[in-house]
This record gives sequence, structure tokens and C-alpha cells, in this order.
Amino acid sequence: MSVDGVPTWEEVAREHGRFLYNVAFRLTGDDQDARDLVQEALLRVRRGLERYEPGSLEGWLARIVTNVFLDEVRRKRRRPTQALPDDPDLVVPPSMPADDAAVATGLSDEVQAALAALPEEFRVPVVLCDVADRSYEEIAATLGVPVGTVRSRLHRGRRMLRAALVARGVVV
Amino acid sequence: MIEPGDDMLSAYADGECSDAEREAVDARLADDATWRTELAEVEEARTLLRALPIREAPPGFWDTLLDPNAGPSAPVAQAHRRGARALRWVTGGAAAAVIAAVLLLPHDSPGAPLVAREFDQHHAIESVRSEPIVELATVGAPLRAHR
Repeated sequence: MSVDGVPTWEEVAREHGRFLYNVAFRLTGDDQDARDLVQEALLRVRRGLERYEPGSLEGWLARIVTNVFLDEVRRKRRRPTQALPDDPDLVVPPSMPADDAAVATGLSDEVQAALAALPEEFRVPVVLCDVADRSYEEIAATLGVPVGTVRSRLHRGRRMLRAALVARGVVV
Repeated sequence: MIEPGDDMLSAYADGECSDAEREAVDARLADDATWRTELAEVEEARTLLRALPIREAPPGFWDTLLDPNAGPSAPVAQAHRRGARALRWVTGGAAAAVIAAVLLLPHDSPGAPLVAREFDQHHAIESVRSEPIVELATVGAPLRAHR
């Protein structure tokens, strides 16, 4: 740690890598994608450390990894492989792919599969709130949306996730 | 009196409501069984999500990532090295331009040794960039490469 309280990127990786990887995995739902996300996030951490002001490091990391994830989502949308809905509010509760169903063996796997099936618009605020433990205000700042939008998407995301678990008989 | 929307239930469960909003939700919950059911469902989803275990990175991931000599699978360390290499080439290019300009212009002391001039020019550049003089070794490489 330097005298001004700003850690090196190696220190960030060693001390907060577990948090970073967990958030990355819950956002992507895939280990390979999570590895790529963490690597890119750490590159941005290294470039951004000069501007980092000591405070909530995990909040800053959650913001960086989310931005990397959303950049990748936008990149894929510019080259879509399947049609995406114009209005995310019109999305029906998701059903999980058969492959995920085969892999899901325990409750955590079922919840993870349901989470991964949520559209990004809902999955991101859910992960930031329930996995990264960020406040609504932090989530709103990360996503560049009003707090009311975070509140709405988070609520809808949780309801969609539960509906998917009910449909699979995981909860009643 | 606030008329709460149902999306306020998640904020209620998260403790993200204002006092006025909380009072409005409490009043609605007291009168509306549907709301009580929805709150219970949202809290259940919230509990399941928060109970997800920490997902650990695959074995060796961090060792590889943090090892600057780990080869192609250590992109962060590699990017660090790429950045350093790029910086050396930029520095070398800038120094080469300065040296070429000095060599082509009339000079008051044509007998000055080339190495000393390189040293002085490098020192002038590095005094701005605050880089150590040990970088001098890399200044010559691009010059030789272009001859």
C-alpha cells in the first residue's frame, strides 16, 4: 500500500479478487466469461488507480466490473445472434435452458441458473444489490439511472427469478 | 399520504424506503393480503440470492494472473509489460527525433562526443518525464534499428 492509501493493482487482486470474481461470475453465469471479465476489470483498475480516491474499494470494483460487463453486452448487441426485446419491461418471466436444468443439482445451482436467465437489465441490479451488497444510490450511479429505476428493476428482477423457481418446482 | 407502488416492496425489504414511504407500505400491508404475499415472495427471492455461496475462481487463476512471468495466460501482467515496452519505444522515438535534429543543425561544439550528447538529450527528456537514467539503455535500440 502506498503512503497515500492507494493500493497497487496486485494488492487489489490479492485482497479483493474473491469479491471481484464472485460478482463477475454472478453477472455472467459462466466461469470462462468471469475470468475474462476479471482480467479486463483489473486492467481498468490498473489504469484507474491514479484517479482512485480512498473510500469504498469494493464499491469502486463493483462499478468497474459492471461497466466491463455492460460494455461486453453492448458489444454483443451490436452484433446480435438473436433478437432482443425493445422494451425490457415486456419480458416474460424466464424459463431456464434445458442444458442449465441438467447441470443444476442443488438449490444454489437452481438459483444461479434462474439468475443467469434474467435479462441483463434486471440481473445487474439484482447482482449489485444481493451479491455485491451495494446501496440503491450506488447502483443508480453505476448504471446511470434514477434510484426509482433501480427500485423498479430490482423488484421485477426478484419477482421474475422467483417465478422461474416456482415454474421449476424449486419453491412453492 | 404516499400511495406506494408494489415496487416499493423490495425497497422496503432492503431498508431503502424513506420514513414516509415505510409508513405508507406498513399501512397498505395491514389492509392488503396480496401485498403481504408479494412481500413474502420478494423476501424469499432476496434470501435465496443472498445465500448463494461465494464463487471461487478456478485453481491457479490468481497465481497465473499475478505472475509476471507466467506467459500468455497472464494478460494483466502482460499488459503491464506491453505498456512498459510501448513507453520505452515512445521514449526512444522521441529521443531519436531530438538527436537527429541536433545532429543536422549547426552546432557550436561539433567535437562533443555522441554518447555525451545522447546522455544530455536523454537527461533533458527524462527530467520532464521524471524517468530514471537507467532508461538510457533503451534509447539507443530504436536508433540502431533504423540505421
